[in-house]
Amino acid sequence: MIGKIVGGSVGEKVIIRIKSGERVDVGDILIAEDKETKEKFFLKVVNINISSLIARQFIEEMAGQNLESGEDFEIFDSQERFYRLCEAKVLKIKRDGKFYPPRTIPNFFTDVRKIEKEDLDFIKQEGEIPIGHLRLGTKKVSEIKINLPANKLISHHMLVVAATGKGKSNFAKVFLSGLLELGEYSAVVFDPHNEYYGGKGTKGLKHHHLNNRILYISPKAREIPGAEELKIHVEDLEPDDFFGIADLSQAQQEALSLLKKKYNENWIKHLLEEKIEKLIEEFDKKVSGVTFATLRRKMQHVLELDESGRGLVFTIEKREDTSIYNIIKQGIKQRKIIIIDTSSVGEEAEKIIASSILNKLFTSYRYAKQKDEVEFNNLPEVLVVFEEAPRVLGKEVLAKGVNVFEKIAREGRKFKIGLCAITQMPSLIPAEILSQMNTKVILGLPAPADRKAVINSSAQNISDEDVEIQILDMGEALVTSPFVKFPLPVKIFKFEEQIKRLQKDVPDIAIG
Amino acid sequence: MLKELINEIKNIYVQKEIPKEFFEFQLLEPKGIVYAVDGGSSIIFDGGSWCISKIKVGVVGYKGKKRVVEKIKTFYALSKKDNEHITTKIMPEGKIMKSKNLEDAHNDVRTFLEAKEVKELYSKTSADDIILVDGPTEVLKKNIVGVNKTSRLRAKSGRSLIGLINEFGSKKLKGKMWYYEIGNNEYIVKLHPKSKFCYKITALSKELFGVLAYFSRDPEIVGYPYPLIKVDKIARVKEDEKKMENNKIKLMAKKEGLILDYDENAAIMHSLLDKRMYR
Repeated sequence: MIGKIVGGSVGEKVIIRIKSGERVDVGDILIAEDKETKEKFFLKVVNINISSLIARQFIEEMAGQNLESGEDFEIFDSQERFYRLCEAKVLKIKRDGKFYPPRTIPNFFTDVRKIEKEDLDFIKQEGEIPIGHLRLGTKKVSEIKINLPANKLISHHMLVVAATGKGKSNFAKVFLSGLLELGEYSAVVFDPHNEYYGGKGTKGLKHHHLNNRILYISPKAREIPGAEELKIHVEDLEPDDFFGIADLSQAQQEALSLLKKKYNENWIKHLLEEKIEKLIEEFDKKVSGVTFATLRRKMQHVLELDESGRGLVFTIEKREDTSIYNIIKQGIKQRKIIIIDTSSVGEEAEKIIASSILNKLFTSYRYAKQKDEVEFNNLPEVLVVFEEAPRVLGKEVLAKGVNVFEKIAREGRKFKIGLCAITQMPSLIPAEILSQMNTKVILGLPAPADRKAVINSSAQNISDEDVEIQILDMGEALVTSPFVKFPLPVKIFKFEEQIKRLQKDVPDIAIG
Repeated sequence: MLKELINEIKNIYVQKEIPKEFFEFQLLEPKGIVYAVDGGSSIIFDGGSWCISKIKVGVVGYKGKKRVVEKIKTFYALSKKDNEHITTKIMPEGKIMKSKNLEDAHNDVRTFLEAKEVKELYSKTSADDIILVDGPTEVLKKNIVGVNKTSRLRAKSGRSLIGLINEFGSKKLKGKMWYYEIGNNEYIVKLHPKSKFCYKITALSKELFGVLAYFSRDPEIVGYPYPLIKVDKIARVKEDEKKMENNKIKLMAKKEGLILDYDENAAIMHSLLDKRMYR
């Protein structure tokens, strides 16, 4: 026994007096067992206070005298008179072997103990993707592995939030390695820091024993055996790829649509190479010369094209071989994890690369669903992983117009496309988009505005976990999802250790 | 009006004697167990011409800082007017005591039971053990010490003796622990250098003051032995406890066909006014 219930209410929290010498941390799960009713209360520590039977003013006086005069007092019965009070929320109540929502609280003086492995017998083996161990406060419970259910989770979108250095990318790599193991799903990862595939000194998915299921696409493909070159011919781009992504006025957006209508796949080539005067004439002066000139400059800038119309990724050259989109499409059908290295291009170009790939992916899945049910059913669920998500899903960005990321967030579920938005500033993403992200992996957020945004948009009530979220250490996460019984405290695997472990077959208990 | 009274008090403060014999002493670690005995009592039902009281006698024992003994004994007493006296029957003892008035009967019982407990305890203690008693002790042995929080002792001037001694002792031995012998095994003692208070202590041996000082360093009441604070807490008959006992008595009486409310109402109006009007 580590404590006793001394107060609380159903709407608030229960208060536990902790026995001296017992260590309890925020995030710990405790059990209160009512011996009379045989009810078992699963409690989660959300706050800890120090308390005393001695009036505060005496304590302050005592500290002051010690500080100012070096006076040393001797405290008798200190364990009884100075103690810790835990505030805990009731997660679930187990009664007659069944779980019930917390509609009551334990009585005064109910014994409270730490959770034991047997208490977690209820955990069913539903999840398939191991992400870490159950975490109690700061301690991981090595016997209890936490798995997430991929089949429900992917198309319902995920949000991975954390401050810098808390382990966002590590989690994404762990999750992707789980997808690799399953072999039933695909993912498209836009990698602005080239950290997912792995390189000299850094472990990535190429070190996974199933790396034959990885398709790596990079502008520097020639230096990497087996990689595909990230080369996009502008003839494959559509005006939609720029809308809601590039900074375009209404007139400029209309001009792009008109160019496409008139020149089909050569619309960008014409914009870039035709004389402005001729363009004005061809469009019967419906578009001003300033608009064409501005669009040409923006297009060259966004696509990072040189004078000759060639850039690291984009080119106006005619495509003679299979487009990168078809390579990606093929990879998806083969249930591969596709990593697209965008580390060598600027932010604007990266967004256009992602937008064009996702527009085609979204269109092909939607088309398949509408036209060919068999083909659609054969397509795997795809998870789109995008770092620094407010760049494409931020309030300011979305105010300029709908882009493909927003479309996926709102409609992707119907077409088996899920978004894994990774960010350290969720408060920049509109609340309705955040609430579409059904599963949230929270790895520590110091900023109150970001915590508020995540807490308010979570599927489960985690308002009491504010303190825990604030103080989560590297690799410690809180996972909320409609597909787990309660917000799960997890110690996320270290990716490097995970890929080693995957070589072995470890029996697990999983939470679904 | 008040100014006249203050002027009168001035006469009391005219110095007629100057206490000089103050002795410093040092803190001493206890060798044995230090016990504290205290009682608490209260009328839990007042029937006007009779009353029932609850009396608790507590004992705590400390070996160094660790509490090794904590026990409480509970008694009930029925006091009623019997010719010229008030007779009180103590339960479960069965002993009958006489008192001068109904209101103080429970205090007499408490004092008796405290002394009884001290005697019993003394018979079981070893030579190194000490028994602290709250107030004047009827049992004066080598290892029994009575600590009086207040005293009505007067100096020749009419001033409070403890106040006078405290004033002079605190000036003479500032920042020290000291005692002043007033005779007849009674001392005025300052048990902590930072304490504003002195206590009248009854003891056969002044060597015990160092041990009392050891226990007087707790910040809750600096300068007062902590075991006496603790035993006071456990022996006190608290207000909600009184209410609970009162209800219990009325219920039990009702089962026996007795309605006690009328008699109680005849006795409690004063306390009711206190509660309703002067809170």
